[in-house]
Amino acid sequence: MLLSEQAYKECEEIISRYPDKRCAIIPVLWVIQRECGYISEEAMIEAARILGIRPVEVMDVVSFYTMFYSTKPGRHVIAVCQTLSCALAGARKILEHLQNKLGIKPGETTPDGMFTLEAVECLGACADAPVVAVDWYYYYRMTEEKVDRLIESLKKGEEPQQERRDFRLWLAPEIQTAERKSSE
Amino acid sequence: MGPRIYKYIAHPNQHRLETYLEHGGYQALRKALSMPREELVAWVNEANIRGRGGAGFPLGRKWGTIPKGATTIYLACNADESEPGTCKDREILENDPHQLIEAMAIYAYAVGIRQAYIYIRGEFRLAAERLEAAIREAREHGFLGRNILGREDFSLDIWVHRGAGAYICGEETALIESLGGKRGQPRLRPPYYPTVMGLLNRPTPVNNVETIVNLVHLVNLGVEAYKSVGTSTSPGTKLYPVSGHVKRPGVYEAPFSVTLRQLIYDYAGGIRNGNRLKAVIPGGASVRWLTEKDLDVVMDFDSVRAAGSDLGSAGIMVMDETVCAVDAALNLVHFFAHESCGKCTPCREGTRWMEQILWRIQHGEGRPGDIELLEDVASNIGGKSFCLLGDSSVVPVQSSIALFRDEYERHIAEKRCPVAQEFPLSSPEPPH
Repeated sequence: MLLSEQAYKECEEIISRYPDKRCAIIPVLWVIQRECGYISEEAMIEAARILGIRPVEVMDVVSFYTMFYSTKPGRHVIAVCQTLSCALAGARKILEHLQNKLGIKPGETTPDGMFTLEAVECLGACADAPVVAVDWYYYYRMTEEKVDRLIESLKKGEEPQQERRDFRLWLAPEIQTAERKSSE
Repeated sequence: MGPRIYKYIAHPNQHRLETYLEHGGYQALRKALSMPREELVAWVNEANIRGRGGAGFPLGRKWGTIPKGATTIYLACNADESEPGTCKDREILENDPHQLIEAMAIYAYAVGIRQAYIYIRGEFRLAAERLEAAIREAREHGFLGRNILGREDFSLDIWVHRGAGAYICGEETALIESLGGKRGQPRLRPPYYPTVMGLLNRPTPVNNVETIVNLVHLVNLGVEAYKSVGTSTSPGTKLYPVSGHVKRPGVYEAPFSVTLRQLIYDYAGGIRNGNRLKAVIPGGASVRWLTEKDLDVVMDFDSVRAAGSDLGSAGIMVMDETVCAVDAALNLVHFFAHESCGKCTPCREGTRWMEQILWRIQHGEGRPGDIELLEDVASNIGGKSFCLLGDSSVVPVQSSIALFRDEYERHIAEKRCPVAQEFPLSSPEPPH
């Protein structure tokens, strides 16, 4: 069996959420990728069997979406946003720094299998640029130093956790004034 | 006082039901359930809630296009936030998910919906986790599921449906295709207007996160108080993400009556390092660039359109004098070329050609005639592609040439980028 019994049950529950089995293709693929690390040809055939559709229809979907991998990625996927707001904040330099530090180009995985580096498009966190996502948990206002610390912590075996932000960085002046006044 | 979407966004536990209830949560749903559905619909029309996904299409008008008497209607909440410069929905999804759930319940009650999906982009991992936890809490406490708050005539299930990396799935017909288990390629309208023929050809209104959450505030405040801020054509408040070369990038909630100058200089602290403003994109990558002379534009849908641009997603990207207009256009065209779904030839091929030409110009290989070539290619994509992505892809090109043609000419004449850039905005590798 390709998946765990638990995963098969999960797929069944997911399928029940939709008026048509086919709607569940992407959620089922997420379950498979979580279990197996990537979507193999065997997995596509299995997904088709679970959903009662043809394997080519699964392949149609897998090949379209960028977050499904057809080969096993590294232990951690490091995605560096390159679109305008992040680029204005120095995202290319962050990407180059990671390329040099890890010794790989975007799209590649380190030989020890730890990190896959990806240059990605807008991650939707533009006000906290430049943004790096590790396994799709976000890290904000990255600098080369923050990158180094992040890599160190991942190498030590720490799991990525989305950065807690200080919303005070955003507060408009009149709110800051009001807060200062109320604390006086 | 008007609505305040982000009122509790900074509270560390706002995503938990207990805290949400302490802050007045689910009172709007209770109030809505005490009103006849027709009255809620009337309120939505009177309040003129404009869509906040990018088009500003009035919510009431969208509801009016759902066929009368339709019994199976699906709601798809568009949480695919991917327009460059836009980062306002994610805050709600991660930090105040119950606000969205409550608002979707009000929406479903008013329209007659029993199944709703939150189509959330795959990259929003924490948000999806928080939403699923919040939905579980809501079900356990009777705010979702069968016979909500004791009403035998109102049941609703909300499911989180994660995408897997595709900007085009924010386009409503592509979103519906993706929800249906297919490639996210847009559909032809007519006949596939989502409110008429959507998921499995059933009526499926698609609305942005921010649009939907406005329902909570409308119900709590009533129409008059809701409309007491904003402008006559765009009532209420808007979430304005400001990024780029400002001292305080952030997402600022302000009435629609705020000006671009106020957002950049008062809210976001002005241009960093005392630099000069070169250009500002007021509403995401798909809208025309503005300059210093346009700063007093009121940031509502009709005013920005009158000024020659569009409020769009309100993703405000500020560029100072260290930015090269060609490189900025290249950055955005690369984005559109990458995200093109491939269905139609003008967009699939044309965005790649525009990227190739822009890259050559930016990296010292521009040739005489390149600007005219760019304009020619752009004119064969814009208005001639299957969906708005193609139209959007030409905007950075046409806008930057209109404003900074001399800069393009210098790149070509000098065979280099003449701007003293702080950071490159594009790859040194040519696109394939």
